[in-house]
Amino acid sequence: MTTDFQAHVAPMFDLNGKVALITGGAVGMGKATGLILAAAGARVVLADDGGRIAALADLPPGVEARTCDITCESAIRALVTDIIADHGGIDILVNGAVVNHNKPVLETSVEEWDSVQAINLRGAFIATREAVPSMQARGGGRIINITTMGSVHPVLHGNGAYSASRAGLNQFTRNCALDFAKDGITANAILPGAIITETISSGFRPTGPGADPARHLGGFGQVDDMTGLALLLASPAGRFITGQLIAVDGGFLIS
Amino acid sequence: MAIDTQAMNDLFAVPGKVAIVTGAGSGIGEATAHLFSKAGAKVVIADLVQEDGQRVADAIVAEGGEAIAVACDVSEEPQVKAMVAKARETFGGIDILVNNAAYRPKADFFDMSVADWDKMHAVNTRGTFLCMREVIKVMRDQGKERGGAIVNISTIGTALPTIVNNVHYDSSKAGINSITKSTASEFAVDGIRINAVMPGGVDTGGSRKMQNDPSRNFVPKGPVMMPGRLLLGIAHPIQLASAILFLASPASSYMTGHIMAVDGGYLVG
Repeated sequence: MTTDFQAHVAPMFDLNGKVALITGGAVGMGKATGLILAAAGARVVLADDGGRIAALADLPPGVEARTCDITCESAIRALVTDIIADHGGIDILVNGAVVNHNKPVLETSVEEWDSVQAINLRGAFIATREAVPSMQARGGGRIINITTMGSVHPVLHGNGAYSASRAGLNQFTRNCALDFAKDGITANAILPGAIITETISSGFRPTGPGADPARHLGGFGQVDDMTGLALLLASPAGRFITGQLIAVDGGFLIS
Repeated sequence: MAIDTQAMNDLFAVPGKVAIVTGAGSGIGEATAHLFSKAGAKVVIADLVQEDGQRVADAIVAEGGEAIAVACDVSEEPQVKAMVAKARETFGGIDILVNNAAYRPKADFFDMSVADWDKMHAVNTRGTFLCMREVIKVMRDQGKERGGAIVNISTIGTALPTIVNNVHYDSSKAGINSITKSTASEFAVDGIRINAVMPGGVDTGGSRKMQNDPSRNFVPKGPVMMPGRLLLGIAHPIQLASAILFLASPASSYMTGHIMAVDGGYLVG
């Protein structure tokens, strides 16, 4: 590493003194995002359901795990309140909590539809509503929503409820960018492509455009492929980027 | 918490990479060239104005970096070929190309001559094509393992109108968006990633000159002039350079064919 990099480039990504809350933070892209923000110097809280939190081990210094039911308003409020009490505030919110039942529309019950929206969209709304006042009080902040390339182009069959929830989160992102720009808060969405995470079950046999390997120009991705963008959006280097839906998709959307 | 500079280095450094930045004698290009050098790249400063390019190259060298200046009108095929050959000969290859050179004078729609139209498209669209054609040949010959990254500079005016008298400029840049996606699709197989950045308002010498020089037909009329539309104000060139470095670095290794706005919220304002 050159001294120039240390002196001039690394500081552009320095999150020392910042506090980050990652929902869906115990697995996959949420966890990977939390770890990179911690590497950049942030204090990171990974929030997830109890089972996933219990399975977390060997977290690096500065990273802690807390249980939260993302469908429960009072639980999210308590989580945010506790973080502010313990660490002084929240500067970065990553809405990473997600569920995908992957069911054909004709077989999707209203309860299943509602549960997908509750985790993927309503939970992000509540977490944002609860965290933003702290960002406003601290003079700025970052909202990073992890959605999917399937929110702008169909990828797999059986993703109707999931993709709709993610498209909703995209537009929620853009409206947050508008509403909170005056507070120095940016809001952006990352649209991951075919990134392999541990939550994809081994028996899953997808069909649809995204099931064709030829559509993934850059092959299949790993969770670390999206952490650079997450860090850019969280860091001083990304402070002029807001309201954007940014695909990290290995070229699927142009295939 | 202390920052893990090694982790940052793994993502955003471009050590030993050879980067051509066109239009690097000023503004966004100059900031990008400097940042690339700090991130470890050897930089080819290609600019129409020899003294501007040389000034930037000298500054980088004075700070301990490696850079050369090459005078180049990107609309002229022989000059582009010579510039790319010089880059390859000096530094032994090419890893990164930033197509930043642009022609910008405005023109009233009804007074816009064919020469005005053609000049705009010659520099912005044809120039980008020529630089890409020559550089991608080199990148492809270097092999998929080495690959390459190309970042084209577009404008938010391709997504949403910004200002009057700019039909030729915005259409030339929309062409660049299209070139970006087409080439990203075609050359992914060669390990070459191609993305674009759409700047919003940026405080550069060029933009100040645009507003102060009557011969450039700048008229402060259009959506971007409406109060409050630039939600986060006007960018400093370093903010564009940061995004360009991101798209040229390992941090974006799974991104290609993306047109990324760095506009302080204009497109949602």
